[in-house]
Amino acid sequence: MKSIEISPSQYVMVIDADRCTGCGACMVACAIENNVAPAHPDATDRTGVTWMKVVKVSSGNNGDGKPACYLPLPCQQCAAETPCVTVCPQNAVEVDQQTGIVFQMSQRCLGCRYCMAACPYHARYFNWWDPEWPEGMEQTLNPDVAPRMRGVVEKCNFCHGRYQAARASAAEHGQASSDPVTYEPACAQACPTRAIKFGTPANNEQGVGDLVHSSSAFRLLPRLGTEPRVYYLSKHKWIRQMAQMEKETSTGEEVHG
Amino acid sequence: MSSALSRRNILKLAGGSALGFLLSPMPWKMLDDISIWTQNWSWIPKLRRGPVTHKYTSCTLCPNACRVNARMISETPVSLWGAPDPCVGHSYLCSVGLAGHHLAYHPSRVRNAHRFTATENGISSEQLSVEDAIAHIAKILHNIHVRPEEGEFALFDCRPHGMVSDIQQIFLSHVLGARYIVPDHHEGRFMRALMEMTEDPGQSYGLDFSRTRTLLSFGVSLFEGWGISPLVVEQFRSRREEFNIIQIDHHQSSSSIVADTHIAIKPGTEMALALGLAHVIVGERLYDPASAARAVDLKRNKPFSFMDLTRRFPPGRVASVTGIPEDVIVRTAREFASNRPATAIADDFAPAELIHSVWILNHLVGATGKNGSVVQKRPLPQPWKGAHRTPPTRLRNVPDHSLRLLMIDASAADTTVSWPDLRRKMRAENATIVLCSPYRPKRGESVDYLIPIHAPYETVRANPSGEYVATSAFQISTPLWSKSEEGCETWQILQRVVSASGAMTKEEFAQLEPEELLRLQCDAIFNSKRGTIHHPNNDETIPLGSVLSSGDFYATLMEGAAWSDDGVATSTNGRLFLMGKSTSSAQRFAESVLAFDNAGIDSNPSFPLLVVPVGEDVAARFGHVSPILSKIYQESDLKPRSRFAYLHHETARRFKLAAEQRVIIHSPHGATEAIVRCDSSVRPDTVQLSVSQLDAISPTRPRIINSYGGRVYTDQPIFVRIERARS
Amino acid sequence: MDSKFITRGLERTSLRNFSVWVLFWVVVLGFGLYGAYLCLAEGLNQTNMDNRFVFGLWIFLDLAIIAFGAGAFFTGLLLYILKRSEFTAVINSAVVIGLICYSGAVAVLAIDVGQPLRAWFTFWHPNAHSMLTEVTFCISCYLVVLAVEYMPILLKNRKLKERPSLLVFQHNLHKVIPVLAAIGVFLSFFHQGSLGGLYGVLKGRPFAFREGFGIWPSTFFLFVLSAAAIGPSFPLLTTSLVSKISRKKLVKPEVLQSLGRISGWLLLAYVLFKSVDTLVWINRTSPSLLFSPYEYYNQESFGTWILFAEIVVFGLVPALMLLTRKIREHRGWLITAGLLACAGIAVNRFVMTIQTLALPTLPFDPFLSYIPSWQEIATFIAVIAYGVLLYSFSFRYLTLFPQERDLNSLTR
Repeated sequence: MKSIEISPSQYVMVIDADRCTGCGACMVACAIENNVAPAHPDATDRTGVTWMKVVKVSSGNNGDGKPACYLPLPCQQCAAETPCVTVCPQNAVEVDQQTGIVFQMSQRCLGCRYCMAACPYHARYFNWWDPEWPEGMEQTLNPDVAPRMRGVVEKCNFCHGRYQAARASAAEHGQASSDPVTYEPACAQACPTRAIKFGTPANNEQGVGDLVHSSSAFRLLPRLGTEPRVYYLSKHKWIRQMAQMEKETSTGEEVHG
Repeated sequence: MSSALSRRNILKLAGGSALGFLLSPMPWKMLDDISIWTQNWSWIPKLRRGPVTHKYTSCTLCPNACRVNARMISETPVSLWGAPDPCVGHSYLCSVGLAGHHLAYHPSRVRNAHRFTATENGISSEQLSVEDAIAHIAKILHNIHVRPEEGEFALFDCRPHGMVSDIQQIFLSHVLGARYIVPDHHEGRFMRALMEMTEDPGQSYGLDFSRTRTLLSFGVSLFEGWGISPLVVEQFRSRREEFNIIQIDHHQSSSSIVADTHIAIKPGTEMALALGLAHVIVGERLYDPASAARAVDLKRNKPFSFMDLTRRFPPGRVASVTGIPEDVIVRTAREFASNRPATAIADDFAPAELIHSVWILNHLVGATGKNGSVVQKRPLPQPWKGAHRTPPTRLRNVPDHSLRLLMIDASAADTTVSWPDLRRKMRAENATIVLCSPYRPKRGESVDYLIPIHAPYETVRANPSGEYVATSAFQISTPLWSKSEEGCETWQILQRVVSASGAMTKEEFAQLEPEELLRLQCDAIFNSKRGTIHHPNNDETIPLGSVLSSGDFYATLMEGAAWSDDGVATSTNGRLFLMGKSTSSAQRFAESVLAFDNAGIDSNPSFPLLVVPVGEDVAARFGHVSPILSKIYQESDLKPRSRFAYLHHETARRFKLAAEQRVIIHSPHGATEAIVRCDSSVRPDTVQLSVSQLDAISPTRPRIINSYGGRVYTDQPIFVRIERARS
Repeated sequence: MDSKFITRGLERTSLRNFSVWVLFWVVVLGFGLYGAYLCLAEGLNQTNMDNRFVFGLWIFLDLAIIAFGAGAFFTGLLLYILKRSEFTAVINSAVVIGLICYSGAVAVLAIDVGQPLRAWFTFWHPNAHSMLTEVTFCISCYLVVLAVEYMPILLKNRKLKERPSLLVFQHNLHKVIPVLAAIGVFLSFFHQGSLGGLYGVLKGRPFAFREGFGIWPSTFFLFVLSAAAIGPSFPLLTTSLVSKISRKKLVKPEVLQSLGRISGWLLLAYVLFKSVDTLVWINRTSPSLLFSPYEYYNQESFGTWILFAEIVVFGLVPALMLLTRKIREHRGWLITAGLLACAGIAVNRFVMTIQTLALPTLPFDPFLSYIPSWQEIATFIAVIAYGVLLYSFSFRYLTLFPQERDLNSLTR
């Protein structure tokens, strides 16, 4: 299933699963960039806020010599039938037609969490607690991203703050507003092994235009028709099949993430 | 005006008011206000505005000295990123380093000196000025001077590294009988073990993986944690296809997942595998002839010689000891010896005999002294060449109950100190522990005085490169905050204590500021006339010779530039000592191998499961890292958790246990509780436990933790049995 | 003491007994409100919901009680539009129950959202594509309709009737009630359906996703039909329960049997459609998304038994029971059948909410479990206590069952 409905001037992220070492630098860089607060003492892996979340997936008995892999899971920025957009009762989620980025307006969100139920990738996070930083640490917040408050949903937006800054600087240099600008989300910048690549297929930054067509490229749950803008790469067949549910998964599989 | 007020009038008034109200701005303003309120609660922090600038510095959290590009808003860092580092080649920061600028605001940060006294209700603390605290400590030191029989004075350096450790040793040499204590294991131990096996003393070595084709890792955290990791990541990133990684690991670590081959091994039998590989390499004559010629031991076969020891580890036997199939052992040996350059590495915290065996493998395949493997390097030029220094003592060699006054330098973020061990070295009565740290003592650390020191990035710090890099390098970690808070460095506190006690005699050390210290180091490097300077601002490299003065050199380093030494053309022909240079070390190695050979590791039928110890979230939760690391250690399930016992499905079935069941784990030494989790990556007949669970069931302390890499070593294997907990 | 407020000719327990009863429920209500307060003041971290189990006990029970509240609109439909005058006997009670169910559900929903102060944003920036928008609009409108429908019942109170102006108002209201009932029926059809659509449209949740007609997934129609099917059953149960507690005959047995028979037919139709829908889902919808339907029932505690229970034990069986005259005429069996039917709808709502969220969607997702926290349970208990109190007061001081006076005087 390689139906690419993504306009080449819209952003895509390509994550090389074979290069991910599960170090978590992307998760930390993302939280710092987007002013996500440290965990409340009672938070768990099911109540935390991790726009980027790396999970470890075991092959069960299918692995071809590779027993497990790490999959970083940001919002998949679905291009078609974006599940969270249609369900929101008050238009707090919108898709930017130019960039393709699915944007959550936390200021308008009432926290009904219907979008979270709708998202098959579990990429959305609810603020179960008020965000709290240790005393003084709020001075180190990124001025380009507004902090959210308790009771609203938030998620990865391909570092929208960085996009805005890049767009502003491109405008200063006289670039037309319809041209895609080059920028890089925090996770891609932080990745020690350069497993995360980002850009538009049209400009082919970091080779993303070629990578999305490579034979090892795949996307999560393609049959749902959501056309994610996040692609993964792996040379391991079991990883590709598992992600696309092409084969019945064995029950010996477990996950930590 | 006497018309009666009819009901109709009232209704009209009410209706009109309602309509008027709707048409007035009030309700709409209210709606608007509500939406603004809900977006701007007073407790949501306000964002700082101001011009964006960038500042280059370097990270002091671990000895790797990664270079940092700090994004600053109004003179305050808002994020840290890796900057290009020509010395190592990489330009990234690890997850801990990315949040390094948070450490000044760590919740357990202290700004004042404290005195702690034990009371009936626990420990009470009292604030005092740093001057008073130093005066108190100097008085104790003076008493020790007068009455040496009351016990010794010592400084415990959690991370002996570079010139700061150097100057501490110089200060201590002014105090009669003072000790300079270092941890039993610390960074660079693996590299330093090589000195015992090569001819010229005082020679330093580094690792150069730029041409390495096979990397054989004995349980090293290759992709996270500190030490070798940046060197490996750089090769993995830039030449993934030619860089073949074989990871020998007792559990499914992130390194073993990412490696090309993971060889699962029974914990505690790694040395047997290394000697087994050596057996195959020697038996099949796969070794490097030139290197073998340097290692004359290879020809002899007398008792306790290298040949005698490896003879005892044929693949068949090693297979049964390690649980690795015989053909895998043979295949691995062949791959390692033929796909050269090849390098084998072990952890700094691994048992000494394992480190020794791993070096034997390197010698056999000719890795030592070759480009693309283990290279010689010149040490960093040092100031005060002739100064008298107190020699280091390992913690385990300090006599028990001998210390009256102990100062601890905890400026390194991750320390591997075992607190009970430290306590045991103190006199039973009247002993004083002084902690020099930016943070409150952790749970279980009983100190008498706490003197605050600078957190990372609050002051200038000398930042020499780590032990592993191929060439020496030097940078300055410049402060990110222009107005530094109160506080000073441990060596300055030591200096003041020693001066106040009347012991300091040399004028030149009596009033030394951090900047002066750095200038001295810069002078020493400048005078060597070696090396190059890399400036991250324009990514340019210039020879040191083109810099006019030492002052210019210092100023350039303060801007975030790095100095690195010229590479040394290596191909050493000196002798190699497979068993160790001194008779005593050869004997120690032979004895531990033979002891293993005789006893092996055997399970007791009543304790059938072998414990695989792993690190977990405890370090991140209680260690001094940014609270944002909760994303990894608390808000995701990426790392093994401390309250779980991980078992293979079949093991669980055999012992009639189910996932999420509460169990008690018994060892001959105690018991602990856990919750069962099934994981197909865990070897049958083993149980994977995290280090915090080992306290109750392990016979010995300390367990050495490389917390960020998830590495734990126990002195001896632990066998347990698991029973269901009664609810 | 309060006898002058009680409808003439009705016998009610002593004020003391009534006070004890009320006091008990007030205490329960207080406890529940404390739980609700915690959720509002401290935030939803007081619940055991999480990023994966985003809906819990509250949504399940909301869906269930809104289905139960359907008695109000369905009895209205029978009485005012289909002119089945025998249901005058239960319409007042059904309206009160409906009001309780809907107002309770809305109150719980207000606590369930993270920022209740922004609830009106849905009216301000409505997203016409969202089922939840439809639900919000219809439920709030219908709640107003129910409140208006409750007014004449309230105004018929003996004491209030003494005021002529209120009597006139009541009389005028009465004339528009059929119109309101028609509006109510319309609104109810939509939001009952939209509640079903809430889950049916979730393509990302292949367990819940259903194909349908136009913009409406099949669950839309199934929810309408199932709500209509227990529309008569639930008043049947509540009437019997009130009758038991008050030890009074409230309606003629024929009325209840008639309710049961209608419920039976509708339930049969529902079971039929539900079976067809399930077969289509198993054989077409789910496999087309590459999800094997059998995998859903391999997960932990949710086996195919739940499907069997929903369709046969709590669907077909009560339908056939209600359609059998002999069983229907036996009071005990009639109530049992009604109970089974209501339980079946509750199971259906449980499956659509809780089971849907518990099941994995990504191939490496684990099966999730969730147990509500005491605050969640307390909040729900508050709704029950509120309902009992409102019903108790209505029953004591208003005329909920017009036949009660005649039935009880006959026996005397």
